[in-house]
Amino acid sequence: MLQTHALTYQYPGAAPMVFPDFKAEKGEQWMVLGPSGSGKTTWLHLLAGLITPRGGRIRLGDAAYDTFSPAAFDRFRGNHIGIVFQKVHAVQSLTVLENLLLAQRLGGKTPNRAKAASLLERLQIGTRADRKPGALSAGEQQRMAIARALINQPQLILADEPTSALDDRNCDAVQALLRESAAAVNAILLVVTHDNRLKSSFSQQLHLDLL
Amino acid sequence: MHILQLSWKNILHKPLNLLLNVVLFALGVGLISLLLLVNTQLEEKFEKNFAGIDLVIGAKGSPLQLILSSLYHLDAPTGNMPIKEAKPFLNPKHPIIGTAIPLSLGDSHKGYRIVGTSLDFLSLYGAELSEGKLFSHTMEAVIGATVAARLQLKPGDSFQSTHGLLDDEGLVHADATPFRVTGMLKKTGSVIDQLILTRTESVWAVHNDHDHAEEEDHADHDHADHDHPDHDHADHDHAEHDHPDHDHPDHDHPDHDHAETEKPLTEYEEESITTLLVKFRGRNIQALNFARNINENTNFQAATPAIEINRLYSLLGVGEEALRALALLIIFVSGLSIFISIYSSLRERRYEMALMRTLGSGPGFLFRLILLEGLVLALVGYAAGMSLSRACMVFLADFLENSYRYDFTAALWLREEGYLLIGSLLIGLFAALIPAFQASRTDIHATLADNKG
Repeated sequence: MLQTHALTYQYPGAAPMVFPDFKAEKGEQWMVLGPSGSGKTTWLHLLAGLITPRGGRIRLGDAAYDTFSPAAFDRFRGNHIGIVFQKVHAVQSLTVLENLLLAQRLGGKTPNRAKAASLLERLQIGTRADRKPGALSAGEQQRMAIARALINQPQLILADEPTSALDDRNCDAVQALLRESAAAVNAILLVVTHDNRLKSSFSQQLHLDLL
Repeated sequence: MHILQLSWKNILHKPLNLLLNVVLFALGVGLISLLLLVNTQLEEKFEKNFAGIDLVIGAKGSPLQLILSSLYHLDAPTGNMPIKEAKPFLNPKHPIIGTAIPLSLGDSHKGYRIVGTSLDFLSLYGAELSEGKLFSHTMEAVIGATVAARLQLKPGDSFQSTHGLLDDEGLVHADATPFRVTGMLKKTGSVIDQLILTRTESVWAVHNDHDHAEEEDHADHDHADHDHPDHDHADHDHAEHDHPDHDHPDHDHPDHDHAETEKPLTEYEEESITTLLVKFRGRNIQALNFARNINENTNFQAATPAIEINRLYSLLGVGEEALRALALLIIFVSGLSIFISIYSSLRERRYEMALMRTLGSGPGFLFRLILLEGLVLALVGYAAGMSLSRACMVFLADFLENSYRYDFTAALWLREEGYLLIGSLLIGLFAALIPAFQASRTDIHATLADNKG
């Protein structure tokens, strides 16, 4: 269960941002909508613990974010939160498979080659396992990012505009994979987007409008 | 995926950067290591060849030249000492001189110097026979280990000596009785490995035969540059000369050859030697003044090896200092190059850094990761530098052996090179410190939000 309460954030020299309280149960899949500048990415980064809120509380499962030290939260995030970014980032000196192994290690798990390989297989990029990320197409790269977000079986998957750089065919495939995969590990899925192609497929939607 | 593996893969990912950094680093480290290798071995050999000699006495001239020619067999001798005048130094009852070993230099065989001396010379260097026996007669020779190996000589072989110290076929003493090798020495690591040793009388014999033959054609041949003085050859067969009023104890010895062997050098008043290697009975004021007395009151000069060699070091030291400074400069530049390449690659990799943070790495992981990249680069550079200096040493060894008359080796690990390793790692560490600190402070949110399309 993910729950936020009275969450606020303030950029230096800007007006404070106030976010609506939010609650999601295990396995729920949400679409987060809002105009540009409505703080979608900021909200997502708050949920990912990449930034510390000015006020308010976040809980994921039994864990309250504000009880962690920064280093401990890094570990917690690696283990329990999977993040998919709009632009795919990867460690370019490692192969696709090695990037997954790194995610396992950084999440505090023992790297498991077989598990990583089968996940790539399931996302239909098994044949790309030994390539460098730079050699992959945009669609393949996004699949790799999804695989990396899923590898540690997180409780929460955050996706920030995961499909905006993809063509229609890849958009459908990535979206479907994301939802199937989240369902497979019974994770909460939050997809931030302004991509109209996705609108119809999510039943639960949150509209962020800055107050 | 271990952190060290990740560092290594990151380095390999930029092969040109790797090449530049390693080449620069290897040049600096290799140059320093090579200097250390050559220097250490030179100093070691110089010191080994002191052989406990307190003083070298020879003809007037440069004292450094005297030391180089008599102890290290490098330079040409300064001149000769007529035995008539050097007699006091050969007196076994001399109050200051404990041992005086005569050397007669100036001839060679295929570039290896022939030294006319006494058997005491061998014990100076702790030389032992590996095969055959010591010389006991005129024209018998004992050869050093390197001579034996290089010239493929062994006991029983014979050769003609060459006048002068260069391998010049035109100057072979063709008319002289050839030398016969009676024994060869074990390797000592000192200059004796490169020498051919014989009795003082053999050197005289070569020149007496030789000069005699020559004189028929060149009546006024100038032998001033000979390593023993121009003789009046009226009496050139003094080796067999009878000394009726001399009560030589072995005079009536049945083995006449043996008697000849034991005749002291002081008997050969008309001959000369090149230098005397002197060991004092003890180090006292008289001994200290002894050298000055010789320099002021005789036709000879006395030189102290330690003083002259220190002078040589200080002369060579300037060039070595310059090379060392250059090497340190190269190492500094290579440190800078490591810093720049890590720093600039970090700019490209800032998303990777942010990504690794989101994947759960704490700031410490990124700090260690970047620091390791600097260390690994320095380590690879160091290893390449060591290989480079060894490879150069292998090529240089022959050249150095010819110019310094010692065997040089590349298979040597010096303690200073351990310090060099520590220094290299420190440079790698410092070069990576600022980028590592920067990586550890990656602002995930700003980096990732900034990249949003």
